[in-house]
Amino acid sequence: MIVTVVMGIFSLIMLFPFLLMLLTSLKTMKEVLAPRFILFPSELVWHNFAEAMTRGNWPRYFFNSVYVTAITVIVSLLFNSLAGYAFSRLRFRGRDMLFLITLIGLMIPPQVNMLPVFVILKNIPLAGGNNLLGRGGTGWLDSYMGLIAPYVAGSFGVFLFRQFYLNFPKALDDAALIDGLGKVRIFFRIYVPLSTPVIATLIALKTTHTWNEFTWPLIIINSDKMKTVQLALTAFKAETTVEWNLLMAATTLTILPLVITFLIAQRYFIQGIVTTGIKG
Amino acid sequence: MQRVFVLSFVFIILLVALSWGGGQKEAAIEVKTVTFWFPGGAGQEEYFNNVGKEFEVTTPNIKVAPTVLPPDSKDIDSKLNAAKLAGIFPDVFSAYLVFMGTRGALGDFEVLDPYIAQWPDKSDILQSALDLGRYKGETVGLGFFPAPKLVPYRKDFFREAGLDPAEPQKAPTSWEELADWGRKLTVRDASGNVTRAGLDIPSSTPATVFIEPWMRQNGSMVIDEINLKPSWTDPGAVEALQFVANLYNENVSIPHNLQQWMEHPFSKGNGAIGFLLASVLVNMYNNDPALKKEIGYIPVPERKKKVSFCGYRMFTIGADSGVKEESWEFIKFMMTDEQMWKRYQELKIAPVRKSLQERFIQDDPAFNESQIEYIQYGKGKAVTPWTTIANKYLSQAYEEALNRRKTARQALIDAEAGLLEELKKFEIQ
Amino acid sequence: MFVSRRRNRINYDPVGYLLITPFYLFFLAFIFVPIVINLLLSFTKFNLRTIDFIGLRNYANLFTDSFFLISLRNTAIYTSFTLIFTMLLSLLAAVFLNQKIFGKSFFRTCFFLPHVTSMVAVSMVWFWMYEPSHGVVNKALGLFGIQGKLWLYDVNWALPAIIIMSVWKYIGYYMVIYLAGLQSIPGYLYEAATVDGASAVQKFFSITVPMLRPVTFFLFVTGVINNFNVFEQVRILTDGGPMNSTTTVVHQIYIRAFTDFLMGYASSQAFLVLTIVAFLTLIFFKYGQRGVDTEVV
Repeated sequence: MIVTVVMGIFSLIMLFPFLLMLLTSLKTMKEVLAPRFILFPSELVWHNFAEAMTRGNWPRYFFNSVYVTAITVIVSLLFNSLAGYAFSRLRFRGRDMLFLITLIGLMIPPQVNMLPVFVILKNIPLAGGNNLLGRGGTGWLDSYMGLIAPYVAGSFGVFLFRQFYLNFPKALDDAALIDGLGKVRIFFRIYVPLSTPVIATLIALKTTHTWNEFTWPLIIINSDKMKTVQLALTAFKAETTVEWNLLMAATTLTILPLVITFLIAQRYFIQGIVTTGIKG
Repeated sequence: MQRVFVLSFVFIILLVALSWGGGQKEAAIEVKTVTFWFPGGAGQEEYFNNVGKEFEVTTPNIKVAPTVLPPDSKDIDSKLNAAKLAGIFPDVFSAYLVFMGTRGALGDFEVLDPYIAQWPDKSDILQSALDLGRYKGETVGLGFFPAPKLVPYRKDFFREAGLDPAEPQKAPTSWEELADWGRKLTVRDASGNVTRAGLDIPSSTPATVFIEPWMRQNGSMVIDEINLKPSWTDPGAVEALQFVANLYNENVSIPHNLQQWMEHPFSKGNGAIGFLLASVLVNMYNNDPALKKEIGYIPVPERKKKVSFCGYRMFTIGADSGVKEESWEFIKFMMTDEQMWKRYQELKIAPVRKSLQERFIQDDPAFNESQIEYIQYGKGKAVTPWTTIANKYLSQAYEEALNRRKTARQALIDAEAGLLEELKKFEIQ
Repeated sequence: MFVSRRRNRINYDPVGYLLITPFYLFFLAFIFVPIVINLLLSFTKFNLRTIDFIGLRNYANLFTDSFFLISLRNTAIYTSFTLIFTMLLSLLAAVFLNQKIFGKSFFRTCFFLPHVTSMVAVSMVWFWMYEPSHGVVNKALGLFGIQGKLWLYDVNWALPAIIIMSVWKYIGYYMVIYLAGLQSIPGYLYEAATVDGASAVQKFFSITVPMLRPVTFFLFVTGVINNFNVFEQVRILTDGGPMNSTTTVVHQIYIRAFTDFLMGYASSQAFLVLTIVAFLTLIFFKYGQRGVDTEVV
């Protein structure tokens, strides 16, 4: 009981800035800029939400974000689970060195990589009007692949899967080997079904991370129809002023898909107890 | 399970193959496309996006492809750098003044003098719009969007303090008078905290835009643009910084960051005298129309020189552009009377044509007259290749002086030495 | 662990190479090659137009760059405090929210929500909360009789202010991973301990904490990496001020690369950071991996 109360209080503290954000989205600009900070608006301006959505082609922006995020997450799950399994359970020459190299990918500040990646994307052969040598067109710039490919390359998922698979008891493997299963089969038959918590975790985190990316879409997207939701939020900022109420309203709307994803994913944290079938 | 994986793989490969194509090929030769990049946001986009279409109507063989940029200059720099690297630098770019130095020095912009020389309208353009976009004597930008920093004051606060909300003629013309008013207008609560600032003196970086006009008014060059050197240690600059630092320590302002324009005490109704860009005032009036009649404008203070701060946005043409003639046609279109007046009416951007000044004043006498004065005597950021680095050192000196870590003199000496050393270290000149 | 096995052993699985290939291809193209490019750039003076090879001069300049050195110190302080607080609090939260409490889903969502919100909107809300005269934080402190601080305008409190906000934002992320880790701890371990008469606290320290070691290790390594790369909050809340008390290494790199046009120098800074973080990670790897292959039975 005490735990519930304590958790309740902490949850409110965690929620508080978000509540402020929601309240701001219901104010008029005059209230936002009032001399003394006003907590509650005198009148709930729900119209702000509608107004915010008229600034640009929001259905398209949402679609772009959803598409890019969904593909990125699915592909990441595929690639990263395989690689994570290989790095944790299989033995091959140079395994650990190869793994450590992927960790370097996590360590580099992403800002310095952006320009080289940009140039690489522009010169992808046979893409966006390029010839075989990657010249002539615009490559993967201003396109979905340009957004997806660099995100898929991230090593975070591999690291996550590897650590979780390391935690699996070896007894599982041994039992399966005795039954005559090959290493790859073991992965599909045993590891994957038991990976639900990890998969749910990666979905929750990778979705958030990809959805909230700003700097990379900024650099690579030029046309309005390819904008993601984060880029579109800059429409409320001008050089000297920001329409905070509209910005917060739009931000609230952009958070909703993430919240829904998390609510669904977090139910699966409960499932997947590893040791079903192994006693004593 | 295995099947799920295999199927997903196939699905992915299909998707990749489908999206691999696409992208823009070179357009057909008959129609030329001018790419137009502009920092937008908060209402300006509609105008700038549409003006391209209006232009296309008059010139059927030129198309305009606009791209809105987020307004933060660092974001803009990132995007421009990527574009430069990939060879897709915009043909026409609405640039902040500071880019004239940082990017102009690196040859990003086409020299416009030949085009302007043949332009009949050039005599109608304000001198500052033509002059401020020069780097080493060559024009790389044509000003179209002046951004003067005015000194508005609250008439109602003056009345409350028992002072006469003087007309501009009786307004302070000297620093001492300005400081005096600042002191009298500050309101403090029981524990001594300032609840209403007398003067808005920013406390945080980057505050160079604030302190430079003070220094210039006191006779300093701030940056010697001919020899490309800083000039922070001349007596004018030192005295100016010391004056501001002393005033700051008399507790007449509320701490704030200059770049957060809407958070200035004056913007929020917590200050009596402010230092604000005209566009911020426009925004304040939009949010609260009743405010306008309570705001007056202090004329450019005169000390040794009559100088104010006025930034500019300029039209530039990319040096590597393949459609320079067409780009110039577009720029000329943007600079016509009709477009300029339209920009004023829709976005409240002050026109830079001499022939439009009368109409401009008549439309909104007090506010626009002040703008004209500040534009006329305005000087913006210096045009050098190392402006961003200089800002860093000057801001540091500013904070050190205000926080009494060093005297103004010492802070500026160290700043200038630091800047020169860094320029030498990185071989920038 | 870093020892390679002999080719002919029965548990040599060359199929491993196949499994890592899809990921590795993308990794090489979009991460590894750019890193190599950056390494090469760090030996040059490059402003996107002209490029000059200058050897180790960039690295030499690092040591006399007072702004960079300050940013190193700030980043180290920021990383240590943020990481410690975040990991402790999130572990506790995960443990509590793993039990059968009413409203568990709701609480978990509350904790994760900050992580999900974009930095721009959230930073501004915190900016208003930290406002010295009217902000919520000072008002709340006032209720307890504590004098308010200038927070983001105060040289000594700006960095702590950012740390607090970061902890708030990242707790959800760590908690989520801890939750997943807690799921894979076999339930019968706890049952056996209860039979032996262990208390909740004893169970926590002798079962939960050791079994979570791979997860903790993961969070620690990724935590150090992520916190070392902190950037967005700094840019929005303070832009490095007041008086450089909040500038971080990535903030410096960004300024150098994108506004000062010193790409080569920025790359050298990035590589120094990379070296430091890699070094720390290697240390963790050596000492944090002990006991990871533990058998359960």
